[in-house]
Amino acid sequence: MGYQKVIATLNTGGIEAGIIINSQVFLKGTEYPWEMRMDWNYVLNETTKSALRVTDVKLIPREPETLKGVRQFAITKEKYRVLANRKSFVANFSSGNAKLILLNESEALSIKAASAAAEDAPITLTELNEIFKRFSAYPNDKRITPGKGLTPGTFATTKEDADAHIKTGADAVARYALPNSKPASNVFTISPATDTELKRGTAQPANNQPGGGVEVIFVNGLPNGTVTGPVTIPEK
Amino acid sequence: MKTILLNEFWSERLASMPETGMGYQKVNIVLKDDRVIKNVIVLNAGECQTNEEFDPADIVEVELCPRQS
Repeated sequence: MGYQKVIATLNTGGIEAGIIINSQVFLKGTEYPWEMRMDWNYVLNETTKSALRVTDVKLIPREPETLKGVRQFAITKEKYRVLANRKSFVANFSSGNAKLILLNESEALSIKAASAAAEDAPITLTELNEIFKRFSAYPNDKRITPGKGLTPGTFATTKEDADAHIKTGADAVARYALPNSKPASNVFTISPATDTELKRGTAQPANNQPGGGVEVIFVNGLPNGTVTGPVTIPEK
Repeated sequence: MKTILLNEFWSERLASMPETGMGYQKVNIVLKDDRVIKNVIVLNAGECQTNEEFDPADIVEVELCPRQS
Protein backbone atom coordinates (compact mmCIF):
# COMPACT_ATOMS: atom_id res chain seq x y z
CA MET A 1 0.00 0.00 0.00
CA GLY A 2 1.32 3.42 -0.96
CA TYR A 3 4.08 2.25 -3.26
CA GLN A 4 4.59 0.80 -6.71
CA LYS A 5 7.45 -1.34 -7.99
CA VAL A 6 8.68 0.13 -11.24
CA ILE A 7 11.38 0.23 -13.87
CA ALA A 8 12.15 3.93 -14.14
CA THR A 9 13.77 5.76 -17.02
CA LEU A 10 15.86 8.66 -15.72
CA ASN A 11 16.65 12.02 -17.30
CA THR A 12 20.16 10.71 -17.98
CA GLY A 13 18.65 8.02 -20.19
CA GLY A 14 19.54 5.27 -17.71
CA ILE A 15 17.09 2.72 -16.36
CA GLU A 16 16.76 1.63 -12.76
CA ALA A 17 14.52 -0.73 -10.88
CA GLY A 18 13.02 0.53 -7.64
CA ILE A 19 9.87 1.78 -6.01
CA ILE A 20 7.82 4.96 -6.18
CA ILE A 21 6.42 6.01 -2.82
CA ASN A 22 3.22 8.03 -2.62
CA SER A 23 3.44 8.67 -6.39
CA GLN A 24 6.17 11.20 -5.59
CA VAL A 25 9.57 9.79 -4.75
CA PHE A 26 11.53 7.19 -6.65
CA LEU A 27 13.99 5.07 -4.67
CA LYS A 28 16.42 2.76 -6.42
CA GLY A 29 16.29 -0.91 -5.54
CA THR A 30 19.53 -0.61 -3.61
CA GLU A 31 18.23 2.24 -1.48
CA TYR A 32 14.81 1.57 -0.10
CA PRO A 33 15.32 -0.94 2.71
CA TRP A 34 16.62 1.77 5.00
CA GLU A 35 15.26 4.94 3.36
CA MET A 36 11.71 3.73 3.95
CA ARG A 37 12.24 3.93 7.69
CA MET A 38 13.15 7.60 7.43
CA ASP A 39 10.78 10.42 8.22
CA TRP A 40 8.78 11.38 5.12
CA ASN A 41 9.90 15.02 5.26
CA TYR A 42 13.51 13.86 5.38
CA VAL A 43 12.94 11.74 2.28
CA LEU A 44 11.32 14.66 0.43
CA ASN A 45 14.17 16.95 1.45
CA GLU A 46 16.76 14.46 0.20
CA THR A 47 15.08 14.32 -3.21
CA THR A 48 15.63 18.04 -3.70
CA LYS A 49 19.39 17.41 -3.57
CA SER A 50 19.35 15.04 -6.52
CA ALA A 51 19.64 16.16 -10.14
CA LEU A 52 18.11 12.89 -11.28
CA ARG A 53 14.52 12.98 -12.53
CA VAL A 54 12.22 10.18 -13.57
CA THR A 55 11.02 10.68 -17.13
CA ASP A 56 9.11 7.43 -17.60
CA VAL A 57 8.05 4.45 -15.54
CA LYS A 58 6.98 0.93 -16.27
CA LEU A 59 5.10 -0.84 -13.52
CA ILE A 60 6.35 -4.22 -12.33
CA PRO A 61 3.30 -6.43 -11.81
CA ARG A 62 3.09 -8.37 -8.58
CA GLU A 63 2.26 -11.90 -9.65
CA PRO A 64 3.44 -13.95 -12.63
CA GLU A 65 -0.14 -14.51 -13.74
CA THR A 66 -0.61 -10.78 -14.04
CA LEU A 67 2.43 -10.26 -16.29
CA LYS A 68 0.47 -8.34 -18.89
CA GLY A 69 3.58 -7.13 -20.76
CA VAL A 70 4.80 -10.68 -21.21
CA ARG A 71 1.37 -11.83 -22.33
CA GLN A 72 1.15 -8.98 -24.81
CA PHE A 73 4.55 -9.89 -26.19
CA ALA A 74 3.55 -13.54 -26.56
CA ILE A 75 0.33 -12.50 -28.24
CA THR A 76 2.26 -10.26 -30.63
CA LYS A 77 4.48 -13.14 -31.64
CA GLU A 78 1.46 -15.40 -31.97
CA LYS A 79 -0.18 -12.81 -34.21
CA TYR A 80 2.75 -12.91 -36.63
CA ARG A 81 2.68 -16.70 -36.65
CA VAL A 82 -1.02 -16.73 -37.50
CA LEU A 83 -0.58 -14.12 -40.24
CA ALA A 84 2.34 -16.08 -41.71
CA ASN A 85 0.23 -19.25 -41.83
CA ARG A 86 -2.63 -17.40 -43.50
CA LYS A 87 -0.38 -15.96 -46.20
CA SER A 88 1.12 -19.38 -46.78
CA PHE A 89 -2.33 -20.97 -47.03
CA VAL A 90 -3.55 -18.40 -49.56
CA ALA A 91 -0.31 -18.79 -51.52
CA ASN A 92 -1.12 -22.47 -52.04
CA PHE A 93 -4.19 -21.44 -54.04
CA SER A 94 -2.39 -18.73 -55.99
CA SER A 95 -0.04 -18.79 -58.91
CA GLY A 96 2.60 -16.75 -60.68
CA ASN A 97 3.72 -13.45 -59.25
CA ALA A 98 0.92 -13.30 -56.68
CA LYS A 99 2.06 -16.61 -55.20
CA LEU A 100 5.65 -15.41 -55.02
CA ILE A 101 4.63 -12.22 -53.23
CA LEU A 102 2.49 -14.13 -50.73
CA LEU A 103 5.27 -16.62 -50.00
CA ASN A 104 7.74 -13.79 -49.43
CA GLU A 105 5.33 -12.05 -47.10
CA SER A 106 4.69 -15.30 -45.24
CA GLU A 107 8.42 -15.88 -44.80
CA ALA A 108 8.96 -12.34 -43.50
CA LEU A 109 6.17 -12.81 -40.95
CA SER A 110 7.57 -16.18 -39.87
CA ILE A 111 10.95 -14.60 -39.21
CA LYS A 112 9.26 -11.84 -37.23
CA ALA A 113 7.37 -14.44 -35.18
CA ALA A 114 10.46 -16.51 -34.48
CA SER A 115 13.08 -13.87 -33.83
CA ALA A 116 13.04 -11.66 -30.83
CA ALA A 117 15.72 -10.78 -28.36
CA ALA A 118 15.79 -12.85 -25.18
CA GLU A 119 15.35 -9.67 -23.18
CA ASP A 120 11.85 -9.25 -24.64
CA ALA A 121 10.87 -12.86 -24.11
CA PRO A 122 8.67 -14.24 -21.35
CA ILE A 123 10.36 -16.13 -18.54
CA THR A 124 10.40 -19.86 -19.10
CA LEU A 125 12.04 -22.88 -17.45
CA THR A 126 14.99 -25.11 -18.26
CA GLU A 127 14.39 -28.72 -19.23
CA LEU A 128 15.84 -31.82 -17.58
CA ASN A 129 19.63 -32.07 -18.11
CA GLU A 130 19.69 -29.05 -20.42
CA ILE A 131 23.20 -27.69 -21.00
CA PHE A 132 24.21 -24.16 -21.96
CA LYS A 133 27.44 -22.52 -23.13
CA ARG A 134 28.87 -19.10 -22.51
CA PHE A 135 31.55 -17.63 -24.77
CA SER A 136 33.88 -15.02 -23.33
CA ALA A 137 37.03 -13.21 -24.34
CA TYR A 138 38.06 -13.44 -20.71
CA PRO A 139 39.12 -16.59 -18.85
CA ASN A 140 38.35 -14.64 -15.65
CA ASP A 141 34.80 -13.82 -16.74
CA LYS A 142 33.30 -11.65 -14.01
CA ARG A 143 29.78 -13.03 -14.47
CA ILE A 144 31.09 -16.32 -13.08
CA THR A 145 30.99 -16.18 -9.30
CA PRO A 146 33.93 -17.44 -7.20
CA GLY A 147 31.84 -20.51 -6.34
CA LYS A 148 31.22 -21.22 -10.05
CA GLY A 149 27.69 -19.88 -10.30
CA LEU A 150 26.30 -17.02 -12.41
CA THR A 151 25.28 -13.49 -11.44
CA PRO A 152 21.67 -12.45 -12.29
CA GLY A 153 21.01 -11.32 -15.83
CA THR A 154 23.87 -13.30 -17.40
CA PHE A 155 23.64 -14.28 -21.07
CA ALA A 156 24.54 -17.67 -22.55
CA THR A 157 23.47 -19.89 -25.44
CA THR A 158 22.24 -23.44 -25.76
CA LYS A 159 24.70 -26.32 -26.18
CA GLU A 160 22.89 -27.22 -29.40
CA ASP A 161 23.43 -23.78 -30.91
CA ALA A 162 27.05 -23.70 -29.80
CA ASP A 163 27.84 -27.19 -31.07
CA ALA A 164 26.22 -26.53 -34.43
CA HIS A 165 27.64 -23.11 -35.17
CA ILE A 166 30.67 -22.17 -33.07
CA LYS A 167 34.12 -23.51 -33.88
CA THR A 168 36.15 -20.39 -33.06
CA GLY A 169 36.04 -17.33 -30.84
CA ALA A 170 35.43 -15.19 -33.93
CA ASP A 171 32.38 -17.34 -34.76
CA ALA A 172 30.95 -16.53 -31.32
CA VAL A 173 31.51 -12.78 -31.76
CA ALA A 174 29.56 -12.84 -35.03
CA ARG A 175 26.72 -15.18 -34.03
CA TYR A 176 25.99 -13.54 -30.68
CA ALA A 177 26.62 -9.99 -32.01
CA LEU A 178 29.33 -9.15 -29.50
CA PRO A 179 31.22 -5.83 -29.43
CA ASN A 180 34.53 -7.53 -28.60
CA SER A 181 37.59 -6.79 -30.66
CA LYS A 182 39.04 -9.96 -29.12
CA PRO A 183 37.57 -13.36 -30.05
CA ALA A 184 35.38 -14.99 -27.40
CA SER A 185 37.50 -18.13 -27.20
CA ASN A 186 36.85 -19.13 -23.59
CA VAL A 187 33.92 -21.51 -23.32
CA PHE A 188 32.11 -22.08 -20.04
CA THR A 189 29.66 -24.95 -19.64
CA ILE A 190 26.52 -24.28 -17.63
CA SER A 191 24.44 -27.05 -16.10
CA PRO A 192 21.43 -25.58 -14.30
CA ALA A 193 18.88 -27.56 -12.35
CA THR A 194 15.61 -28.44 -14.06
CA ASP A 195 13.03 -25.64 -13.94
CA THR A 196 15.56 -22.84 -13.60
CA GLU A 197 14.05 -19.55 -14.77
CA LEU A 198 15.43 -18.11 -17.98
CA LYS A 199 14.44 -16.17 -21.09
CA ARG A 200 15.07 -17.49 -24.59
CA GLY A 201 15.47 -15.49 -27.77
CA THR A 202 17.59 -14.71 -30.79
CA ALA A 203 20.64 -12.47 -30.82
CA GLN A 204 19.64 -9.42 -32.82
CA PRO A 205 22.09 -7.75 -35.23
CA ALA A 206 24.27 -5.33 -33.27
CA ASN A 207 27.84 -4.08 -32.96
CA ASN A 208 28.37 -4.56 -36.71
CA GLN A 209 27.76 -8.27 -36.28
CA PRO A 210 24.94 -10.31 -37.83
CA GLY A 211 23.73 -12.12 -34.70
CA GLY A 212 21.15 -14.85 -35.28
CA GLY A 213 22.31 -17.22 -32.54
CA VAL A 214 20.17 -18.53 -29.73
CA GLU A 215 20.57 -16.40 -26.63
CA VAL A 216 19.30 -17.10 -23.15
CA ILE A 217 19.32 -14.97 -20.02
CA PHE A 218 19.58 -16.53 -16.58
CA VAL A 219 17.25 -14.05 -14.98
CA ASN A 220 18.12 -14.85 -11.37
CA GLY A 221 21.64 -16.12 -11.99
CA LEU A 222 22.67 -19.61 -10.92
CA PRO A 223 23.90 -21.12 -7.66
CA ASN A 224 27.44 -22.25 -6.99
CA GLY A 225 28.69 -25.36 -8.72
CA THR A 226 26.68 -24.98 -11.93
CA VAL A 227 29.48 -23.65 -14.17
CA THR A 228 32.63 -25.42 -15.37
CA GLY A 229 35.51 -24.30 -17.53
CA PRO A 230 36.66 -22.46 -19.38
CA VAL A 231 38.01 -24.55 -22.18
CA THR A 232 39.70 -22.68 -24.99
CA ILE A 233 38.73 -22.88 -28.65
CA PRO A 234 40.76 -21.44 -31.55
CA GLU A 235 40.53 -17.68 -32.01
CA LYS A 236 39.90 -17.84 -35.78
CA MET B 1 38.56 3.80 -29.30
CA LYS B 2 40.40 3.54 -26.00
CA THR B 3 39.93 1.23 -23.04
CA ILE B 4 39.42 2.70 -19.58
CA LEU B 5 39.39 0.31 -16.65
CA LEU B 6 36.78 0.73 -13.96
CA ASN B 7 37.82 0.44 -10.35
CA GLU B 8 36.81 -2.55 -8.24
CA PHE B 9 33.72 -0.84 -6.80
CA TRP B 10 32.09 -0.11 -10.16
CA SER B 11 33.26 -3.37 -11.63
CA GLU B 12 31.59 -5.37 -8.86
CA ARG B 13 28.47 -3.27 -9.18
CA LEU B 14 28.26 -3.88 -12.92
CA ALA B 15 28.85 -7.59 -12.45
CA SER B 16 25.71 -7.68 -10.32
CA MET B 17 23.61 -5.86 -12.95
CA PRO B 18 22.05 -7.53 -16.01
CA GLU B 19 24.03 -7.82 -19.21
CA THR B 20 23.09 -6.18 -22.50
CA GLY B 21 24.48 -9.15 -24.40
CA MET B 22 26.89 -12.00 -23.79
CA GLY B 23 29.85 -10.51 -21.95
CA TYR B 24 29.01 -6.84 -22.21
CA GLN B 25 26.83 -4.02 -20.95
CA LYS B 26 25.89 -0.70 -22.51
CA VAL B 27 25.87 2.03 -19.89
CA ASN B 28 25.70 5.74 -19.25
CA ILE B 29 28.47 7.00 -16.99
CA VAL B 30 27.76 10.01 -14.77
CA LEU B 31 30.81 12.00 -13.64
CA LYS B 32 31.43 14.34 -10.72
CA ASP B 33 31.20 17.39 -12.99
CA ASP B 34 27.68 16.28 -14.12
CA ARG B 35 28.99 15.14 -17.47
CA VAL B 36 27.17 12.05 -18.74
CA ILE B 37 29.03 9.81 -21.15
CA LYS B 38 26.33 7.89 -22.96
CA ASN B 39 26.21 4.47 -24.58
CA VAL B 40 29.56 3.23 -23.32
CA ILE B 41 30.24 -0.44 -23.98
CA VAL B 42 31.74 -2.13 -20.93
CA LEU B 43 33.35 -5.52 -21.47
CA ASN B 44 33.61 -8.06 -18.68
CA ALA B 45 32.13 -5.60 -16.17
CA GLY B 46 35.26 -3.50 -16.17
CA GLU B 47 36.69 -2.44 -19.54
CA CYS B 48 35.03 0.72 -20.91
CA GLN B 49 35.31 1.16 -24.66
CA THR B 50 35.04 4.88 -25.30
CA ASN B 51 36.34 7.79 -27.32
CA GLU B 52 35.86 10.19 -24.43
CA GLU B 53 38.54 10.84 -21.87
CA PHE B 54 37.59 10.53 -18.20
CA ASP B 55 39.08 9.55 -14.89
CA PRO B 56 37.41 6.45 -13.42
CA ALA B 57 37.81 8.03 -9.98
CA ASP B 58 35.34 10.75 -11.08
CA ILE B 59 32.46 8.34 -11.67
CA VAL B 60 29.44 8.96 -9.45
CA GLU B 61 26.96 6.65 -11.16
CA VAL B 62 26.80 3.95 -13.80
CA GLU B 63 23.40 3.16 -15.30
CA LEU B 64 22.35 0.56 -17.81
CA CYS B 65 21.13 2.01 -21.09
CA PRO B 66 17.62 1.19 -22.18
CA ARG B 67 17.71 -1.42 -24.92
CA GLN B 68 17.08 -0.04 -28.39
CA SER B 69 14.34 -2.05 -30.05
